[in-house]
Amino acid sequence: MAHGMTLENKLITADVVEVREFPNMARQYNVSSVPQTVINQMIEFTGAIPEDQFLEKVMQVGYEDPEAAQNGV
Amino acid sequence: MNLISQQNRADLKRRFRKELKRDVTLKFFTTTTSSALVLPGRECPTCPQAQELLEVTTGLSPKLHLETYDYFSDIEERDRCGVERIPAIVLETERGGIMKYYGVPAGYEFALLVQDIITLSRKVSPLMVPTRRSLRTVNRPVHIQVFVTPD
Repeated sequence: MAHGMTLENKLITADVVEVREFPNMARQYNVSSVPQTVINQMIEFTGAIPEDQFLEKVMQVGYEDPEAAQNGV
Repeated sequence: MNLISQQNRADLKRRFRKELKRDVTLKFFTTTTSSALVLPGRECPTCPQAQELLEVTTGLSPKLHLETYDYFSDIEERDRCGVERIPAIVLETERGGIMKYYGVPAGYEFALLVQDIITLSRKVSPLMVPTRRSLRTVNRPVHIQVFVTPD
């Protein structure tokens, strides 16, 4: 699903990381079970989740209302 | 090393022939330094395995192309694609989004790679229309990392 999201917007990048080859990353992100997903190093979850929930998490970090940003909200 | 069995190669070849429409380029970032001259900090023990897997896979269809880059000398392309370690495989989408694989794409990762290749070639998103519409409004960089194991 993460890779499918990159089809829609050039601001979206998605990496699939094989943790056994990169144990340092597994330690850095406290990966204890897979699949584990991390978004902008802020949001994380384990296992598969429904598409609408995944989208909600992406929009949390990826969308800023231009008007709210202008008004400093 | 036989990373894909003859039977799986035949199956995949059939699947690619049936499902691929447009050409797809896979960018492979590795170290091209001779194995006799590996410098400390530049080792990549799994790069040859990843390369073999990609050569076999892209050899199964004339619509698949493999471009190989040296992580340590092709710096411009590496940085443009945001590659931070090797082995890495990059697929670029039409809108400029980037899909990356770090590590040998075996098992689960290989199945994902095949699916991504087909998705890019057919330009058919696996996502629902409302999801796609929302994603087009994203106005800040989003970096998704999915940690997996091969099995």
